[in-house]
Amino acid sequence: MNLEIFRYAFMQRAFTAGFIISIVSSVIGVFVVLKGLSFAGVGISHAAFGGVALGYFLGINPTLSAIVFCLFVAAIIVYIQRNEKLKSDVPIGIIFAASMGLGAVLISLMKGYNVDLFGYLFGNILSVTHSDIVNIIFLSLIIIAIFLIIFKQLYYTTFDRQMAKVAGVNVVLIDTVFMMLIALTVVISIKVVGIILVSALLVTPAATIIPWAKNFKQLTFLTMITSLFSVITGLFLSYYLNIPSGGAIVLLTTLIFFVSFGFAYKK
Amino acid sequence: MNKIIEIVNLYFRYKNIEILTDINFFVSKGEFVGIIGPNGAGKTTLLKLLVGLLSPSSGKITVFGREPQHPGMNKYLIGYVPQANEADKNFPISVREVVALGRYHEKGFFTNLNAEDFEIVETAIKKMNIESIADKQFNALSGGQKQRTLIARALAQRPKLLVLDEPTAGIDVKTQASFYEILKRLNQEGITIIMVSHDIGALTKEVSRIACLNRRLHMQGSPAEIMKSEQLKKLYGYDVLLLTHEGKEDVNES
Ligand SMILES: Nc1ncnc2c1ncn2[C@@H]1O[C@H](COP(=O)(O)OP(=O)(O)O)[C@@H](O)[C@H]1O
Ligand SMILES: [Mg+2]
Repeated sequence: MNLEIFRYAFMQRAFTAGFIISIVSSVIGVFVVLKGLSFAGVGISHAAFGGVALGYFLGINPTLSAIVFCLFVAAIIVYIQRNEKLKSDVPIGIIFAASMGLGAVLISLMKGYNVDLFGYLFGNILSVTHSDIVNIIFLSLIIIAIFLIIFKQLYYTTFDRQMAKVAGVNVVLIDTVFMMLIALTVVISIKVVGIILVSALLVTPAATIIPWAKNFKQLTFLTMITSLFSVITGLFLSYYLNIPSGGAIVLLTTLIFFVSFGFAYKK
Repeated sequence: MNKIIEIVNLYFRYKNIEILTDINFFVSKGEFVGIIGPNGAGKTTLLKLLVGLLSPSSGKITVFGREPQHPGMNKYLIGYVPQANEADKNFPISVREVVALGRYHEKGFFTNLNAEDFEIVETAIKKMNIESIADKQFNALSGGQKQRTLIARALAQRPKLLVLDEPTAGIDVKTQASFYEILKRLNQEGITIIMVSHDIGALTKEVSRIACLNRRLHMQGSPAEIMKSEQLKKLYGYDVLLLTHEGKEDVNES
Protein backbone atom coordinates (compact mmCIF):
# COMPACT_ATOMS: atom_id res chain seq x y z
CA MET A 1 0.00 0.00 0.00
CA ASN A 2 1.09 3.51 -0.79
CA LEU A 3 1.71 5.37 2.47
CA GLU A 4 1.62 8.92 1.10
CA ILE A 5 -1.32 9.38 3.45
CA PHE A 6 1.02 9.89 6.41
CA ARG A 7 2.68 12.85 4.72
CA TYR A 8 -0.39 14.96 5.35
CA ALA A 9 -0.43 16.70 8.71
CA PHE A 10 -4.21 16.30 8.98
CA MET A 11 -3.88 12.54 8.56
CA GLN A 12 -1.14 12.39 11.18
CA ARG A 13 -3.48 14.21 13.53
CA ALA A 14 -6.40 11.93 12.68
CA PHE A 15 -4.28 8.83 13.36
CA THR A 16 -2.93 10.25 16.62
CA ALA A 17 -6.46 11.09 17.76
CA GLY A 18 -7.75 7.70 16.59
CA PHE A 19 -5.03 5.86 18.49
CA ILE A 20 -5.71 7.64 21.78
CA ILE A 21 -9.47 7.40 21.40
CA SER A 22 -9.27 3.63 20.79
CA ILE A 23 -7.34 3.09 24.01
CA VAL A 24 -9.51 5.32 26.19
CA SER A 25 -12.85 4.20 24.80
CA SER A 26 -11.84 0.54 25.25
CA VAL A 27 -10.93 0.99 28.90
CA ILE A 28 -14.22 2.82 29.58
CA GLY A 29 -16.24 0.68 27.14
CA VAL A 30 -15.49 -2.59 28.95
CA PHE A 31 -17.35 -1.22 31.98
CA VAL A 32 -20.07 0.37 29.84
CA VAL A 33 -20.91 -3.09 28.52
CA LEU A 34 -20.46 -4.99 31.80
CA LYS A 35 -22.61 -2.45 33.65
CA GLY A 36 -25.27 -2.48 30.93
CA LEU A 37 -24.85 1.21 30.18
CA SER A 38 -24.96 1.04 26.36
CA PHE A 39 -28.03 3.21 26.21
CA ALA A 40 -26.52 5.72 28.64
CA GLY A 41 -23.59 5.94 26.22
CA VAL A 42 -25.98 6.65 23.35
CA GLY A 43 -27.80 9.25 25.44
CA ILE A 44 -24.73 11.13 26.58
CA SER A 45 -23.17 11.15 23.13
CA HIS A 46 -26.29 12.59 21.53
CA ALA A 47 -26.41 15.18 24.27
CA ALA A 48 -23.04 16.36 22.98
CA PHE A 49 -24.91 17.74 19.96
CA GLY A 50 -26.69 20.20 22.25
CA GLY A 51 -23.37 20.98 23.90
CA VAL A 52 -21.56 21.70 20.65
CA ALA A 53 -24.45 23.84 19.31
CA LEU A 54 -24.49 25.78 22.57
CA GLY A 55 -20.82 26.56 22.12
CA TYR A 56 -21.33 27.97 18.62
CA PHE A 57 -24.39 29.88 19.74
CA LEU A 58 -22.64 31.52 22.67
CA GLY A 59 -19.45 32.02 20.72
CA ILE A 60 -17.34 29.90 23.06
CA ASN A 61 -15.15 26.90 22.30
CA PRO A 62 -17.56 24.08 21.32
CA THR A 63 -15.32 21.44 22.89
CA LEU A 64 -15.49 23.25 26.20
CA SER A 65 -19.26 23.72 26.02
CA ALA A 66 -19.65 20.04 25.04
CA ILE A 67 -17.61 18.99 28.08
CA VAL A 68 -19.62 21.08 30.52
CA PHE A 69 -22.93 20.13 28.92
CA CYS A 70 -22.19 16.38 28.81
CA LEU A 71 -20.93 16.31 32.42
CA PHE A 72 -24.13 18.08 33.43
CA VAL A 73 -26.28 15.61 31.47
CA ALA A 74 -24.41 12.63 32.97
CA ALA A 75 -25.03 13.92 36.49
CA ILE A 76 -28.71 14.64 35.77
CA ILE A 77 -29.23 11.13 34.37
CA VAL A 78 -27.77 9.50 37.49
CA TYR A 79 -29.78 11.84 39.69
CA ILE A 80 -33.12 11.04 38.02
CA GLN A 81 -32.24 7.33 37.93
CA ARG A 82 -32.13 7.35 41.72
CA ASN A 83 -35.88 7.93 41.69
CA GLU A 84 -37.06 4.35 41.90
CA LYS A 85 -40.43 5.06 40.31
CA LEU A 86 -38.88 5.37 36.86
CA LYS A 87 -36.96 2.67 35.05
CA SER A 88 -33.36 3.61 34.47
CA ASP A 89 -33.67 4.07 30.70
CA VAL A 90 -36.42 6.70 31.03
CA PRO A 91 -34.28 9.71 32.04
CA ILE A 92 -31.84 8.84 29.26
CA GLY A 93 -34.65 8.77 26.70
CA ILE A 94 -35.92 12.16 27.86
CA ILE A 95 -32.60 13.99 28.21
CA PHE A 96 -31.15 12.72 24.98
CA ALA A 97 -34.08 13.93 22.86
CA ALA A 98 -34.15 17.24 24.73
CA SER A 99 -30.44 17.87 24.03
CA MET A 100 -30.82 17.09 20.34
CA GLY A 101 -33.85 19.39 20.27
CA LEU A 102 -31.87 22.16 21.91
CA GLY A 103 -29.09 21.68 19.37
CA ALA A 104 -31.52 21.84 16.44
CA VAL A 105 -33.15 25.03 17.73
CA LEU A 106 -29.84 26.78 18.46
CA ILE A 107 -28.36 25.92 15.07
CA SER A 108 -31.45 27.14 13.21
CA LEU A 109 -31.18 30.44 15.11
CA MET A 110 -27.63 30.96 13.89
CA LYS A 111 -28.56 31.93 10.34
CA GLY A 112 -25.66 31.98 7.97
CA TYR A 113 -23.31 30.37 10.43
CA ASN A 114 -21.51 27.60 8.68
CA VAL A 115 -21.17 24.67 11.10
CA ASP A 116 -19.93 21.39 9.65
CA LEU A 117 -22.96 19.51 10.89
CA PHE A 118 -22.35 16.36 8.92
CA GLY A 119 -18.78 16.20 10.27
CA TYR A 120 -19.93 16.59 13.85
CA LEU A 121 -22.58 13.93 13.44
CA PHE A 122 -20.62 11.29 11.55
CA GLY A 123 -16.95 12.15 11.98
CA ASN A 124 -14.58 13.99 9.65
CA ILE A 125 -10.86 13.26 9.61
CA LEU A 126 -10.15 16.62 8.01
CA SER A 127 -11.58 18.39 11.03
CA VAL A 128 -9.02 17.33 13.65
CA THR A 129 -6.98 20.43 14.46
CA HIS A 130 -3.76 20.80 16.40
CA SER A 131 -5.64 22.18 19.40
CA ASP A 132 -8.01 19.20 19.20
CA ILE A 133 -5.02 16.92 19.66
CA VAL A 134 -3.87 18.93 22.68
CA ASN A 135 -7.39 18.70 24.14
CA ILE A 136 -7.62 14.98 23.45
CA ILE A 137 -4.30 14.25 25.15
CA PHE A 138 -5.09 16.47 28.13
CA LEU A 139 -8.61 15.03 28.64
CA SER A 140 -7.39 11.47 28.12
CA LEU A 141 -4.86 11.90 30.91
CA ILE A 142 -7.63 13.16 33.19
CA ILE A 143 -9.94 10.28 32.23
CA ILE A 144 -7.25 7.66 32.81
CA ALA A 145 -6.12 9.22 36.10
CA ILE A 146 -9.66 9.27 37.53
CA PHE A 147 -10.30 5.81 36.15
CA LEU A 148 -7.24 4.44 37.94
CA ILE A 149 -8.31 6.09 41.19
CA ILE A 150 -11.79 4.55 41.14
CA PHE A 151 -10.85 1.31 39.35
CA LYS A 152 -11.03 -1.11 42.30
CA GLN A 153 -14.31 0.30 43.53
CA LEU A 154 -15.76 0.35 40.02
CA TYR A 155 -14.65 -3.25 39.52
CA TYR A 156 -16.23 -4.45 42.78
CA THR A 157 -19.42 -2.42 42.20
CA THR A 158 -19.80 -3.85 38.71
CA PHE A 159 -19.23 -7.44 39.79
CA ASP A 160 -21.31 -7.42 42.97
CA ARG A 161 -23.01 -4.16 43.85
CA GLN A 162 -24.48 -5.24 47.16
CA MET A 163 -21.22 -6.58 48.55
CA ALA A 164 -19.35 -3.51 47.30
CA LYS A 165 -21.69 -1.49 49.49
CA VAL A 166 -20.96 -3.78 52.41
CA ALA A 167 -17.25 -3.21 51.76
CA GLY A 168 -17.82 0.51 52.18
CA VAL A 169 -17.98 1.65 48.54
CA ASN A 170 -20.16 4.70 47.92
CA VAL A 171 -21.77 3.10 44.88
CA VAL A 172 -23.80 6.16 43.87
CA LEU A 173 -20.67 8.30 43.83
CA ILE A 174 -18.87 5.68 41.74
CA ASP A 175 -21.84 5.53 39.32
CA THR A 176 -21.80 9.30 38.95
CA VAL A 177 -18.07 9.57 38.42
CA PHE A 178 -18.13 6.75 35.89
CA MET A 179 -21.00 8.38 33.97
CA MET A 180 -18.85 11.53 33.82
CA LEU A 181 -15.94 9.52 32.46
CA ILE A 182 -18.28 8.31 29.71
CA ALA A 183 -19.15 11.96 29.00
CA LEU A 184 -15.48 12.97 28.68
CA THR A 185 -14.72 9.97 26.48
CA VAL A 186 -17.59 10.97 24.21
CA VAL A 187 -16.26 14.50 23.89
CA ILE A 188 -12.74 13.45 22.86
CA SER A 189 -14.17 11.06 20.26
CA ILE A 190 -16.56 13.45 18.52
CA LYS A 191 -14.24 14.79 15.82
CA VAL A 192 -13.08 11.41 14.60
CA VAL A 193 -16.15 9.22 15.11
CA GLY A 194 -19.02 11.68 15.22
CA ILE A 195 -21.73 12.33 17.79
CA ILE A 196 -24.16 9.77 16.43
CA LEU A 197 -21.56 7.02 16.22
CA VAL A 198 -19.43 7.49 19.33
CA SER A 199 -21.43 5.08 21.40
CA ALA A 200 -20.54 2.23 19.03
CA LEU A 201 -16.88 2.64 19.96
CA LEU A 202 -17.84 2.38 23.63
CA VAL A 203 -19.96 -0.71 23.15
CA THR A 204 -19.13 -2.84 20.13
CA PRO A 205 -15.44 -3.76 20.68
CA ALA A 206 -16.03 -4.77 24.31
CA ALA A 207 -19.17 -6.71 23.38
CA THR A 208 -17.12 -8.52 20.71
CA ILE A 209 -14.55 -9.74 23.24
CA ILE A 210 -16.70 -10.54 26.30
CA PRO A 211 -17.69 -14.07 25.20
CA TRP A 212 -14.00 -14.94 24.74
CA ALA A 213 -12.20 -13.26 27.62
CA LYS A 214 -10.82 -15.45 30.40
CA ASN A 215 -10.04 -12.60 32.74
CA PHE A 216 -10.38 -8.90 33.06
CA LYS A 217 -6.91 -7.98 31.78
CA GLN A 218 -7.43 -10.07 28.69
CA LEU A 219 -10.84 -8.50 28.12
CA THR A 220 -9.43 -4.98 28.27
CA PHE A 221 -6.39 -5.80 26.13
CA LEU A 222 -8.30 -7.58 23.36
CA THR A 223 -10.95 -4.87 23.35
CA MET A 224 -8.17 -2.33 22.73
CA ILE A 225 -6.79 -4.41 19.87
CA THR A 226 -10.22 -4.73 18.26
CA SER A 227 -10.89 -1.05 18.65
CA LEU A 228 -7.45 -0.01 17.34
CA PHE A 229 -7.80 -2.25 14.32
CA SER A 230 -11.22 -0.82 13.48
CA VAL A 231 -10.23 2.79 13.99
CA ILE A 232 -6.95 2.63 12.04
CA THR A 233 -8.46 0.64 9.18
CA GLY A 234 -11.50 2.91 9.22
CA LEU A 235 -9.31 5.98 8.87
CA PHE A 236 -7.55 4.44 5.84
CA LEU A 237 -10.90 3.63 4.24
CA SER A 238 -12.20 7.08 5.02
CA TYR A 239 -9.21 8.63 3.27
CA TYR A 240 -9.09 6.41 0.22
CA LEU A 241 -12.83 6.04 -0.37
CA ASN A 242 -13.73 9.56 0.75
CA ILE A 243 -16.38 8.37 3.21
CA PRO A 244 -17.09 9.65 6.75
CA SER A 245 -14.51 8.21 9.19
CA GLY A 246 -17.12 7.46 11.86
CA GLY A 247 -19.24 5.46 9.44
CA ALA A 248 -16.27 3.41 8.25
CA ILE A 249 -15.08 2.69 11.80
CA VAL A 250 -18.49 1.70 13.10
CA LEU A 251 -19.22 -0.58 10.15
CA LEU A 252 -15.86 -2.31 10.70
CA THR A 253 -16.40 -2.92 14.44
CA THR A 254 -19.89 -4.16 13.72
CA LEU A 255 -18.62 -6.59 11.09
CA ILE A 256 -16.05 -7.96 13.58
CA PHE A 257 -18.75 -8.20 16.22
CA PHE A 258 -20.99 -10.36 14.07
CA VAL A 259 -18.15 -12.65 13.04
CA SER A 260 -17.21 -13.09 16.72
CA PHE A 261 -20.86 -13.52 17.71
CA GLY A 262 -21.31 -16.24 15.10
CA PHE A 263 -18.32 -18.21 16.39
CA ALA A 264 -19.02 -17.60 20.07
CA TYR A 265 -22.48 -19.08 19.89
CA LYS A 266 -21.52 -22.04 17.75
CA LYS A 267 -19.17 -23.12 20.56
CA MET B 1 -18.61 -8.06 77.53
CA ASN B 2 -18.62 -11.05 75.24
CA LYS B 3 -21.96 -10.16 73.65
CA ILE B 4 -21.04 -9.73 70.02
CA ILE B 5 -24.50 -8.78 68.83
CA GLU B 6 -26.98 -6.80 70.88
CA ILE B 7 -30.39 -6.01 69.44
CA VAL B 8 -32.76 -4.04 71.66
CA ASN B 9 -36.38 -3.09 70.86
CA LEU B 10 -35.66 -3.16 67.16
CA TYR B 11 -38.37 -2.16 64.68
CA PHE B 12 -37.97 -2.03 60.94
CA ARG B 13 -40.56 -0.57 58.61
CA TYR B 14 -40.46 -0.60 54.85
CA LYS B 15 -42.86 1.90 53.25
CA ASN B 16 -44.97 1.97 56.42
CA ILE B 17 -45.25 -1.80 56.56
CA GLU B 18 -43.84 -3.18 59.73
CA ILE B 19 -41.47 -5.96 58.81
CA LEU B 20 -39.71 -6.48 62.11
CA THR B 21 -41.47 -5.84 65.40
CA ASP B 22 -39.79 -5.36 68.75
CA ILE B 23 -36.85 -7.70 68.30
CA ASN B 24 -34.63 -8.33 71.30
CA PHE B 25 -31.77 -10.65 70.54
CA PHE B 26 -28.25 -11.25 71.78
CA VAL B 27 -25.43 -13.37 70.48
CA SER B 28 -22.31 -14.20 72.49
CA LYS B 29 -18.83 -14.85 71.26
CA GLY B 30 -18.35 -18.37 69.89
CA GLU B 31 -22.02 -19.22 69.38
CA PHE B 32 -23.43 -20.92 66.30
CA VAL B 33 -26.97 -19.58 65.98
CA GLY B 34 -29.56 -20.75 63.47
CA ILE B 35 -32.47 -18.54 62.45
CA ILE B 36 -35.59 -20.18 61.05
CA GLY B 37 -38.92 -18.81 59.91
CA PRO B 38 -41.29 -18.97 56.95
CA ASN B 39 -40.75 -17.04 53.72
CA GLY B 40 -41.28 -13.32 54.16
CA ALA B 41 -40.61 -13.58 57.90
CA GLY B 42 -37.99 -10.85 57.76
CA LYS B 43 -34.90 -13.04 58.17
CA THR B 44 -32.98 -11.49 55.30
CA THR B 45 -34.04 -8.04 56.52
CA LEU B 46 -32.64 -8.78 59.96
CA LEU B 47 -29.29 -9.86 58.50
CA LYS B 48 -29.14 -6.76 56.30
CA LEU B 49 -29.66 -4.65 59.40
CA LEU B 50 -26.80 -6.53 61.06
CA VAL B 51 -24.36 -5.77 58.25
CA GLY B 52 -25.47 -2.17 57.88
CA LEU B 53 -27.18 -2.43 54.48
CA LEU B 54 -30.36 -1.20 56.19
CA SER B 55 -30.83 0.95 59.26
CA PRO B 56 -33.40 0.40 62.00
CA SER B 57 -36.64 2.43 62.05
CA SER B 58 -36.31 2.46 65.81
CA GLY B 59 -34.48 0.56 68.49
CA LYS B 60 -30.85 -0.28 68.54
CA ILE B 61 -28.44 -2.77 67.01
CA THR B 62 -24.83 -3.02 67.98
CA VAL B 63 -22.27 -5.43 66.60
CA PHE B 64 -18.92 -5.55 68.38
CA GLY B 65 -20.20 -2.61 70.45
CA ARG B 66 -20.84 -0.32 67.47
CA GLU B 67 -23.83 0.41 65.26
CA PRO B 68 -23.19 -1.32 61.92
CA GLN B 69 -23.56 1.95 59.99
CA HIS B 70 -21.23 3.89 62.24
CA PRO B 71 -18.25 5.14 60.20
CA GLY B 72 -15.85 3.93 62.86
CA MET B 73 -17.23 0.39 62.69
CA ASN B 74 -14.72 -2.20 61.56
CA LYS B 75 -17.18 -3.77 59.18
CA TYR B 76 -14.68 -6.26 57.84
CA LEU B 77 -15.09 -8.14 61.11
CA ILE B 78 -18.50 -9.20 59.78
CA GLY B 79 -18.29 -11.68 56.93
CA TYR B 80 -21.60 -11.60 55.08
CA VAL B 81 -22.86 -14.05 52.48
CA PRO B 82 -26.15 -12.78 51.05
CA GLN B 83 -29.08 -14.95 50.06
CA ALA B 84 -29.50 -13.84 46.48
CA ASN B 85 -26.20 -13.96 44.70
CA GLU B 86 -26.36 -10.75 42.70
CA ALA B 87 -22.96 -11.14 41.11
CA ASP B 88 -22.78 -10.16 37.46
CA LYS B 89 -23.10 -13.13 35.11
CA ASN B 90 -20.83 -11.85 32.36
CA PHE B 91 -18.02 -10.61 34.53
CA PRO B 92 -14.79 -12.44 33.68
CA ILE B 93 -13.36 -13.26 37.09
CA SER B 94 -11.77 -16.35 38.59
CA VAL B 95 -12.63 -17.95 41.91
CA ARG B 96 -9.33 -16.75 43.38
CA GLU B 97 -10.01 -13.19 42.23
CA VAL B 98 -13.46 -13.27 43.83
CA VAL B 99 -11.98 -14.45 47.12
CA ALA B 100 -9.32 -11.74 46.93
CA LEU B 101 -12.05 -9.07 46.84
CA GLY B 102 -12.63 -9.88 50.50
CA ARG B 103 -9.28 -8.33 51.36
CA TYR B 104 -10.49 -4.87 50.29
CA HIS B 105 -13.12 -4.96 53.03
CA GLU B 106 -10.30 -4.70 55.55
CA LYS B 107 -7.72 -2.71 53.60
CA GLY B 108 -9.89 -0.22 51.76
CA PHE B 109 -9.60 0.52 48.06
CA PHE B 110 -6.57 2.76 47.97
CA THR B 111 -3.82 0.23 48.54
CA ASN B 112 -2.76 -2.78 46.53
CA LEU B 113 -2.89 -6.29 47.87
CA ASN B 114 0.50 -7.59 49.00
CA ALA B 115 2.04 -11.00 49.65
CA GLU B 116 0.43 -11.25 53.06
CA ASP B 117 -3.00 -10.60 51.55
CA PHE B 118 -2.51 -13.32 48.97
CA GLU B 119 -1.52 -15.72 51.72
CA ILE B 120 -4.75 -14.91 53.57
CA VAL B 121 -6.63 -15.50 50.31
CA GLU B 122 -4.99 -18.92 49.88
CA THR B 123 -5.81 -19.84 53.47
CA ALA B 124 -9.48 -18.94 52.91
CA ILE B 125 -9.49 -21.03 49.72
CA LYS B 126 -8.06 -24.01 51.58
CA LYS B 127 -10.52 -23.69 54.43
CA MET B 128 -13.43 -23.90 52.01
CA ASN B 129 -11.85 -26.81 50.07
CA ILE B 130 -11.92 -24.99 46.74
CA GLU B 131 -8.23 -25.27 45.80
CA SER B 132 -9.05 -27.42 42.79
CA ILE B 133 -11.38 -24.84 41.27
CA ALA B 134 -9.46 -21.71 42.28
CA ASP B 135 -8.48 -20.86 38.70
CA LYS B 136 -11.90 -21.54 37.21
CA GLN B 137 -14.28 -18.85 36.04
CA PHE B 138 -16.68 -17.95 38.85
CA ASN B 139 -19.62 -17.92 36.47
CA ALA B 140 -18.97 -21.46 35.29
CA LEU B 141 -19.39 -22.90 38.81
CA SER B 142 -22.30 -24.89 40.25
CA GLY B 143 -24.48 -23.34 42.94
CA GLY B 144 -22.63 -25.11 45.74
CA GLN B 145 -19.21 -24.12 44.41
CA LYS B 146 -20.32 -20.50 44.10
CA GLN B 147 -21.59 -20.56 47.65
CA ARG B 148 -18.25 -21.90 48.93
CA THR B 149 -16.41 -19.24 46.96
CA LEU B 150 -18.54 -16.49 48.47
CA ILE B 151 -17.94 -17.84 51.96
CA ALA B 152 -14.22 -17.96 51.19
CA ARG B 153 -14.45 -14.29 50.19
CA ALA B 154 -16.06 -13.58 53.56
CA LEU B 155 -13.27 -15.55 55.30
CA ALA B 156 -10.65 -13.52 53.44
CA GLN B 157 -11.90 -10.56 55.46
CA ARG B 158 -10.63 -12.44 58.53
CA PRO B 159 -14.02 -11.94 60.17
CA LYS B 160 -14.92 -12.63 63.78
CA LEU B 161 -18.58 -13.07 62.84
CA LEU B 162 -20.02 -14.91 59.85
CA VAL B 163 -23.54 -13.99 58.72
CA LEU B 164 -24.93 -16.54 56.27
CA ASP B 165 -28.32 -16.22 54.54
CA GLU B 166 -29.64 -19.63 53.42
CA PRO B 167 -26.23 -20.88 52.32
CA THR B 168 -27.38 -24.44 51.77
CA ALA B 169 -30.31 -23.67 49.47
CA GLY B 170 -29.77 -25.50 46.19
CA ILE B 171 -26.87 -27.61 47.41
CA ASP B 172 -27.14 -31.39 47.31
CA VAL B 173 -27.39 -33.33 50.55
CA LYS B 174 -23.92 -34.86 50.36
CA THR B 175 -22.27 -31.50 49.80
CA GLN B 176 -24.38 -30.09 52.62
CA ALA B 177 -22.89 -32.54 55.09
CA SER B 178 -19.32 -31.51 54.28
CA PHE B 179 -20.47 -27.92 54.26
CA TYR B 180 -21.65 -28.21 57.86
CA GLU B 181 -18.35 -29.87 58.73
CA ILE B 182 -16.50 -26.80 57.48
CA LEU B 183 -18.80 -24.43 59.36
CA LYS B 184 -18.34 -26.42 62.58
CA ARG B 185 -14.57 -26.25 62.20
CA LEU B 186 -14.68 -22.49 61.62
CA ASN B 187 -16.87 -22.16 64.69
CA GLN B 188 -14.38 -24.17 66.74
CA GLU B 189 -11.63 -21.87 65.52
CA GLY B 190 -13.47 -19.05 67.25
CA ILE B 191 -15.69 -17.53 64.56
CA THR B 192 -19.19 -16.75 65.73
CA ILE B 193 -21.79 -17.82 63.16
CA ILE B 194 -25.34 -16.72 62.46
CA MET B 195 -27.08 -18.67 59.78
CA VAL B 196 -30.55 -18.51 58.27
CA SER B 197 -31.82 -21.83 56.93
CA HIS B 198 -34.99 -23.64 56.01
CA ASP B 199 -33.33 -26.96 56.53
CA ILE B 200 -34.47 -27.44 60.11
CA GLY B 201 -33.40 -31.08 60.21
CA ALA B 202 -29.74 -30.39 59.52
CA LEU B 203 -29.71 -27.14 61.44
CA THR B 204 -30.88 -28.71 64.69
CA LYS B 205 -27.98 -31.15 64.56
CA GLU B 206 -25.32 -28.53 64.08
CA VAL B 207 -26.13 -25.30 65.90
CA SER B 208 -26.02 -24.38 69.57
CA ARG B 209 -29.12 -22.21 69.50
CA ILE B 210 -32.11 -21.65 67.25
CA ALA B 211 -34.21 -18.51 66.95
CA CYS B 212 -37.65 -18.60 65.35
CA LEU B 213 -38.50 -15.40 63.52
CA ASN B 214 -41.75 -14.37 61.94
CA ARG B 215 -41.85 -10.59 61.99
CA ARG B 216 -41.35 -11.04 65.75
CA LEU B 217 -38.84 -13.21 67.51
CA HIS B 218 -41.22 -15.95 68.62
CA MET B 219 -38.87 -18.09 70.61
CA GLN B 220 -35.31 -19.15 70.94
CA GLY B 221 -33.48 -21.95 72.68
CA SER B 222 -31.45 -25.07 72.20
CA PRO B 223 -32.43 -27.26 69.25
CA ALA B 224 -33.99 -29.82 71.60
CA GLU B 225 -36.18 -27.19 73.23
CA ILE B 226 -37.27 -25.82 69.90
CA MET B 227 -38.13 -29.20 68.42
CA LYS B 228 -40.31 -30.05 71.39
CA SER B 229 -42.18 -26.83 71.20
CA GLU B 230 -45.73 -26.52 69.98
CA GLN B 231 -44.90 -22.99 68.92
CA LEU B 232 -42.88 -24.21 66.00
CA LYS B 233 -45.97 -25.83 64.57
CA LYS B 234 -47.88 -22.61 65.02
CA LEU B 235 -45.13 -20.67 63.36
CA TYR B 236 -45.07 -22.84 60.31
CA GLY B 237 -48.58 -24.22 60.43
CA TYR B 238 -48.28 -27.95 59.76
CA ASP B 239 -45.44 -27.44 57.36
CA VAL B 240 -42.40 -28.15 59.47
CA LEU B 241 -41.75 -31.62 58.14
CA LEU B 242 -43.00 -30.72 54.71
CA LEU B 243 -40.58 -27.84 54.53
CA THR B 244 -37.51 -29.94 55.23
CA HIS B 245 -38.81 -32.56 52.86
CA GLU B 246 -39.38 -30.02 50.12
CA GLY B 247 -35.93 -28.63 50.68
CA LYS B 248 -34.42 -32.01 49.93
CA GLU B 249 -36.44 -32.49 46.77
CA ASP B 250 -35.28 -29.13 45.44
CA VAL B 251 -31.79 -30.30 46.00
CA ASN B 252 -32.04 -33.44 43.93
CA GLU B 253 -33.19 -31.49 40.92
CA SER B 254 -30.24 -29.12 40.87
N1 LIG C 1 -36.73 -3.85 49.30
C1 LIG C 1 -37.92 -4.41 49.53
N2 LIG C 1 -38.94 -4.20 48.68
C2 LIG C 1 -40.14 -4.75 48.89
N3 LIG C 1 -40.44 -5.52 49.93
C3 LIG C 1 -39.48 -5.77 50.80
C4 LIG C 1 -38.17 -5.23 50.66
N4 LIG C 1 -37.46 -5.65 51.69
C5 LIG C 1 -38.26 -6.42 52.42
N5 LIG C 1 -39.48 -6.50 51.91
C6 LIG C 1 -40.59 -7.26 52.48
O1 LIG C 1 -40.23 -7.60 53.78
C7 LIG C 1 -40.67 -8.89 54.12
C8 LIG C 1 -39.54 -9.72 54.68
O2 LIG C 1 -38.63 -10.00 53.65
P1 LIG C 1 -37.33 -10.88 53.90
O3 LIG C 1 -36.55 -10.23 54.99
O4 LIG C 1 -36.65 -11.03 52.60
O5 LIG C 1 -37.94 -12.25 54.39
P2 LIG C 1 -37.26 -13.69 54.49
O6 LIG C 1 -35.80 -13.56 54.23
O7 LIG C 1 -37.56 -14.16 55.88
O8 LIG C 1 -37.94 -14.56 53.49
C9 LIG C 1 -41.27 -9.49 52.89
O9 LIG C 1 -42.69 -9.48 53.04
C10 LIG C 1 -40.84 -8.58 51.78
O10 LIG C 1 -41.86 -8.48 50.83
MG1 LIG D 1 -34.58 -14.37 52.88
